[in-house]
Amino acid sequence: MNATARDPVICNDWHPVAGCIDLPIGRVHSTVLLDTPIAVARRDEQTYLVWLDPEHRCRHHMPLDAAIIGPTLPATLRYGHLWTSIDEPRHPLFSLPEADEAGRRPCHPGSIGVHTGGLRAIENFLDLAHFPFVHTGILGAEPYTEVLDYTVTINDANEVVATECRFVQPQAALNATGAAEIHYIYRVPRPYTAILYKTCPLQPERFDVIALFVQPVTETRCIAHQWICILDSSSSEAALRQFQLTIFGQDKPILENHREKRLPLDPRAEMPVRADATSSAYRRWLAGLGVRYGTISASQQ
Amino acid sequence: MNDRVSMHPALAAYRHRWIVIARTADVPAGHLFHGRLLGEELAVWRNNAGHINVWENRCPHRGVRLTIGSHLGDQLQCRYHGWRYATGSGGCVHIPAHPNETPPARIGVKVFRALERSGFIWASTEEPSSEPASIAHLPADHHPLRSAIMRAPAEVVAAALLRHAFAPAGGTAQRIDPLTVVVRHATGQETLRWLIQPSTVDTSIVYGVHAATVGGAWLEAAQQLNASLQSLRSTIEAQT
Ligand code: FES
Ligand SMILES: [Fe+2]
Repeated sequence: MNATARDPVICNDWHPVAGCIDLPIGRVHSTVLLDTPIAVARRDEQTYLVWLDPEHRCRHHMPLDAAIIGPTLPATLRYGHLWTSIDEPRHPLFSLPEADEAGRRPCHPGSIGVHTGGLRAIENFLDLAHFPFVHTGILGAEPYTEVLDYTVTINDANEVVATECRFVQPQAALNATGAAEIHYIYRVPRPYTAILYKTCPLQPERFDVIALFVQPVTETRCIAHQWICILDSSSSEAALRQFQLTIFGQDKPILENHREKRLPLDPRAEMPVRADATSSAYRRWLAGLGVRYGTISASQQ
Repeated sequence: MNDRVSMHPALAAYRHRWIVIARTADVPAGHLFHGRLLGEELAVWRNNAGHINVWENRCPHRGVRLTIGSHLGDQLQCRYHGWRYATGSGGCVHIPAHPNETPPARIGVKVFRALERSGFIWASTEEPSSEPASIAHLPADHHPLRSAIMRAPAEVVAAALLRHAFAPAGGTAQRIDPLTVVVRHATGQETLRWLIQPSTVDTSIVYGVHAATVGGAWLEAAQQLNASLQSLRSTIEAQT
């Protein structure tokens, strides 16, 4: 709670609290955002409600009833998720133009609780070097372990962007037919949001979009909401979902074995190498934004 | 609230001692043993030649536990990005993301002093002031008892072991150093020794060493001691 009070950047930002497929009409979804118990419900096709539930009176899946609705919070439905803010949002939700492109299939593979800080989950999502060891045979395989130099910049919208990322992958996607060098672009629009643009095996000139929306539950726990918007038209939704969940299931035990669950912002706290350029830029950018929630600042080290 | 706890003052008193952290049998070849020493988390393993390594359980790259990694014989490999660390020095010898470069010499795991003697593995967080005297005079023919984890500070455990004595009729119990209690027969011969490991500020592990008795009666005696130790544990934990 104290950490939230100290962190206007995160408190005044939008955060995902549920995938819309997880919100049946007329039922309450009870969750926690930034140490704050909240409840979420879908009243009808169009109306979504988010409210503070400080005494945790709302049981998960209980019927929606006017008597249980507390002070409401802003609610926006976008990118397959419901977004809210525990304070006044200072910016509109980040943009993701591909979401509205024709010929793409949006899909929400699932939301997974992870016992680590959300910033660790984002950093892992931005990481190429772990593919051969954690996603062996799918996103990477020895001896193709080298991470070639790539470019990291901060764009005009003050987002971290990594371009020219390349990696040899045995099975880059469900519809891949063999090993291929895959091209990636990473984009980090907000501290707890990361988007990956990945060569599409079927249309090499276009990119599949894979996003990770992280809900910071506490400084050391999070819910990772995945959202994909890809060009694959042949695979079944169940198969796509399974593929993404398999990948994340391989990351989870690693994420839960960080000795420090919060992300250290002091560059000397851990040992980055060139392959970690995105991670280093991300940490510097978080420090520059003044993010405290979920971090270990240099002074606390 | 830093996730990396600095050493508690109650534990700092043991910094310069050799402390038992495991029995030899706890760390078979090829195994990565998760241990504790004065609040530190340890990765304990032996290389192909049997040499014991006691390391901080933390990969310097991104802080992941090394005990979820792989034992490669003379190196330990981190599970996350495959960085490899050499037996002995703990120095990083391979970074797969840059396979053709020599890792910078400054990259290495934090290594603790370690030695193995009389069926136990000992470690120290700082330069020890003496040899592990508590084990040096063990009778040649001895049997380790089952170890017991107790939710209590080492000081409380040591005091309780001394009080409870476990001494045979006419025998004596003596605390020869803060973490060792020796029990003697009326004749003065040592029959039992308790070694205490301060794992964290409020958790300790007790290892018993039982001198062999004639006529094969030691098994029965050992069973009795194991049972007594368990009841002592309940008593201590009920009080703290
Ligand atoms: S965290 Fe160990 S190799 Fe990256
Ligand atoms: Fe991963």
